[in-house]
Amino acid sequence: MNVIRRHYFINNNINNIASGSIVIIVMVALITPYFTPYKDPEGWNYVPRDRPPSLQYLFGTNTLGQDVFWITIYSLRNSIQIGVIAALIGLSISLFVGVLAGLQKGLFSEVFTAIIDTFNLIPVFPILILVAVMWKQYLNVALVAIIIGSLGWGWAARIIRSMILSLKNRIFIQTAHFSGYKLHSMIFYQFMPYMLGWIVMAFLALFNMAIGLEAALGLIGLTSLEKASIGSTIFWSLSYQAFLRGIWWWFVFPTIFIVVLMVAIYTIANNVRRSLVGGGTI
Amino acid sequence: MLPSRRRGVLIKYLVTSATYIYIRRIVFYRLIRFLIVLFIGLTTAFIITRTTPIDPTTNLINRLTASFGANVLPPETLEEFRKNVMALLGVDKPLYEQYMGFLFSVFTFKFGPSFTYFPTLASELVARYLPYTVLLLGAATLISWVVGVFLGTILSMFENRFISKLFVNVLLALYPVPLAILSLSLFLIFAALMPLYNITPGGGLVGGVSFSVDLMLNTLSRIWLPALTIIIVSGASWILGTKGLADAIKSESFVTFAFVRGLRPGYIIKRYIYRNVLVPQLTALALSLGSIFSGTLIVEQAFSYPGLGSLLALAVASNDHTVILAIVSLSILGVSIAAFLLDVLYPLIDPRIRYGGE
Repeated sequence: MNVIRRHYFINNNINNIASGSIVIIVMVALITPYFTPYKDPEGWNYVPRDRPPSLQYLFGTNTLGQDVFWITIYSLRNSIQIGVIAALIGLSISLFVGVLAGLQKGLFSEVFTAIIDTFNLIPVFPILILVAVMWKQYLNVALVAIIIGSLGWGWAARIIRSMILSLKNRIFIQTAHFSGYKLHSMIFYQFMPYMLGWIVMAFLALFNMAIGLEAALGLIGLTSLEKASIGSTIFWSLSYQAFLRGIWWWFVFPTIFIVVLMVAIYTIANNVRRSLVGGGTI
Repeated sequence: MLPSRRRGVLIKYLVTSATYIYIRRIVFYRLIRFLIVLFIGLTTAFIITRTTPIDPTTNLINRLTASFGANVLPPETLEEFRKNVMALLGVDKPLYEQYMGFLFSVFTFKFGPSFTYFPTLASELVARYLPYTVLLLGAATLISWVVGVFLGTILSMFENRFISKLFVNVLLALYPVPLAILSLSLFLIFAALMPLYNITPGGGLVGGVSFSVDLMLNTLSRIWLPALTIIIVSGASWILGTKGLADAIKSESFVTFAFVRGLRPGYIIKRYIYRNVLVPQLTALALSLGSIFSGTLIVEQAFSYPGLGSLLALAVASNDHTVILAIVSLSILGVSIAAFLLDVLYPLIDPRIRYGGE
């Protein structure tokens, strides 16, 4: 653990603050939902509408009759879920496609490289909307995460491919190849130690990207609207004109915490990247 | 016809000339890549529309029949009607013909009728909203790229000053904020709390094409905040990326040598660092055009700026599949054409590619 800390984290105050706020926000989002006073905090009309923040309702209440404090916590929980699932899916796809495009030769590699190029160049957001519209009736937290994760992996696959291409020609890889390593053990024991730090960084970046895309989908109304999340908070506050009616607490409190989480994660990811050899691109 | 000896010289000159090498090595390769990207992108969009749990055609037919009371019509008329609508949308043909028709409609810019504004063609709607998106996207991308690359180089040069450290840290905190949240926060500040941003619906933008001072002022009053949002986010990414590149170049020995020679810092920035930063950042611009376009759609919807983003949101709200597909495929086409053009322009900046050996 000490070695990892010394290797991956530049020990400074900003890092401590960032990792501290990540731990606090994630713990609060995962644990506090068990202590809610309401039967269903995501249900409508449990509390009076449009009350400003007070001692009784810490973050106020919204036009749907929900306590914004509990909506904040539930949005954090659902958004973190979406981020983690989407990042895991995106990472697996980009690892699969990137490693195949880098390691294989001939037509196979050309095809995978072309797919990576395509997903880098074309605008992903309209395609995301196209998929989400088609599955509109079935959208829930998991499906939104799966859709986001299976489309937004282009940049990660591109970097993995170039890493594999540059590692492939190193002498230790050739030594391993001639000593009879199989493909999978080659990937796990020879390539992975070099790529692990970068994979941690890519996971964090994909997590942030997924939360951002979910918020953007919420702007259009294509997310799981019955469940609290950043996207659905944006959708409902916009459709009830909360901004122009002065109910700022509905939008501001949930987003402040998610923004703090994302900035902290970005800081950690940046420092992980800085501690890697050559800025993470080998 | 030239004498054969001189013809040979001419051909030899043409074959070895920079232009020829440029066309053979750059344009040809990039053109093939552009076509492959376009093919995969459009095919993906087509496959997505055909592997759905819902049937857009039935949706449209139900909506149309509901509007004039389907229960009073005789079944034969209804069946006739269904056939006509399916022929209009081209879904009664076999799948490969539909696919060919789809590709044809993308390249001829002719899409079927919109579901919501029924007789109007989807391509007409897209053409109506497209100029505003192009204006916003073009202005914001140009400003953020030029300013970002310039500022990034300057910041890397003076990185020990307090003000540059502060600026970089502010950008590092601003960069990970999602575009949707940032634009809504700016909307909250500048439109809801302070009456600085004009939020009249449409703002008199869509409609007349006649140019007048009034229209330009009106456009400006609608465009400045969305443009500012895109410039903040993508400018931050250009500044941070450029600063990283410039830091790497600064530690190279030729720059150290230039410092030792006693050249002025301004000259070193212009001739040694800026030129070396421009090339990779232009590639990055070509690569990130897609995500910039996606970002523009998000920002347009957040500010209800009358562009493709708002049209897309409108189409999503009313399940207008033709318009959505038209926007998706045209954005794939447009972004890959723009990336191809940038890719081809690339050698004009980098002489190493222009005069590179075989």
